[in-house]
Amino acid sequence: MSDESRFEDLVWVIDAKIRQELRLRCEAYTPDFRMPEVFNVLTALLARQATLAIELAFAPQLWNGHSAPLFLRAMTDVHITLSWILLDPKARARQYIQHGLGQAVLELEHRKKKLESAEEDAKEEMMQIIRANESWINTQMWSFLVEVNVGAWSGKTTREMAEESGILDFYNYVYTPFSQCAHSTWYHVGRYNSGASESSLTRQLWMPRIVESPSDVWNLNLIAKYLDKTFNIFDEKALGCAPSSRIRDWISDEIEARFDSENGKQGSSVSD
Amino acid sequence: MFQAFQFDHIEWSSHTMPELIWWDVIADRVSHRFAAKVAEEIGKYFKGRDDRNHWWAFISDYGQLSDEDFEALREHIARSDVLSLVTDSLSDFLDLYPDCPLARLSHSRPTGIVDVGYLSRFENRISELEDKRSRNGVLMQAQAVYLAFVLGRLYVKEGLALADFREVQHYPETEKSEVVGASICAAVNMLAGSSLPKYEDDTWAQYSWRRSLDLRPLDFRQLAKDDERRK
Repeated sequence: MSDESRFEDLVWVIDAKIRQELRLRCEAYTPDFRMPEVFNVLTALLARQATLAIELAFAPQLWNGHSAPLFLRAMTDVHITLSWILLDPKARARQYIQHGLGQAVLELEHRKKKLESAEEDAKEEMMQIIRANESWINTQMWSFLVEVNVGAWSGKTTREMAEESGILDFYNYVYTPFSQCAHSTWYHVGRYNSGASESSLTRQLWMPRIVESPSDVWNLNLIAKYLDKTFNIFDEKALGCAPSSRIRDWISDEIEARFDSENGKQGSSVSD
Repeated sequence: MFQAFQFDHIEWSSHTMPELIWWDVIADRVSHRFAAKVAEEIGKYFKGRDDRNHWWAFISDYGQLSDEDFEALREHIARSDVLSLVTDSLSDFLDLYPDCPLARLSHSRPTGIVDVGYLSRFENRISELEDKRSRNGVLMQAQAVYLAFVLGRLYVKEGLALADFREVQHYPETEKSEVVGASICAAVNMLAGSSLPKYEDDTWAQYSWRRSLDLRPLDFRQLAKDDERRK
């Protein structure tokens, strides 16, 4: 088997493992019908975290400094959100849904406004989109009853949420650095898309560039690490059992079994 | 504005609908006309009681009846010759939900044996009833309003939509029936809002959803169908 197909095989196995771990948790979690939103939100966030992990795992060409942080930052966001909701699931799951519905209503109103000035031949298609969106909202709550909140869904900053959840270090050392890439701040752009010109005569000017950033298998390790964190806090707070997710160790063992045993030693970089 | 009025929600599909579902079960098994006859007899039995807390249209209402009261209600319905058909029509439903307060309508306990065919049929009916403006949804709610009329606790001024209550039988075929249907929905919201326990405390609603989950467990296998995805 070629390295390429062995690698492809590895990714499929990782996909199956993540899905299986997700499924086990969803099956173990008994919904409380007094507050079904809690089940809906918690399992949806778990599925979201699994989705982000799987999508990035399937795209080794994105395991670089330009792209991987976009996914990893989203994963840290999910983890902080879930951790904070788990502190008061009943109130916060509802708050989370209501904010999402509010955003959908806001978009709907923008689309309705645009419809007024739209070309005649575009109106029917726009109406279909509006009807579909409205129907999605109305299955959960009548759109005219939805409050639109244009601020943060939790009414707090992500830092405050992380602090209250006892994961401020995670916010400082993980969320914040990855946010630089997501928001394209100078912190990121200055490193990955700009650099001092080579000649001392033009040193004041930095050249735009697209830095070579090789695919790094370390990103696979980070995916698994954050997924473990999320699954584990769910185990602890939602299932009331000991944290049991060891996807990072499992992936590491898989890589070792599939590659290291033959090659003796494998570098941390994986070529595209 | 909503805050000023201490606005509170009562949700149709999770709360009011399961409270009224038995009317649709009877209508499905026999007819809407028969369901109306049942409502009439129940209304006659409870009419004149000094009880402002119950409308006797909701399943939860029956959870609060004493055994003696239930027996007297049974005897009243039996005298009007509808009891056996009511219990027959509810039997499959009560086998699905054996702890339903209405199980006391029959002297024999529900077997709890699930008829898979009926379960699918019931599931499909529920799908339609999720839309409170569907024909069966409106007719189900109409039984509650009819009961309120029979109880003598709901009066309608001439000229208002509800004064043409009988027109609901044509819902939604005529314009007038649509107006009547909308009024019925609004009236049921009022009845439910004023008499049902809060959703979290509604023993029947909570039981029915838990039991429904037992009957149709969530299937998470789709999360892990890796072999099919790989093809």
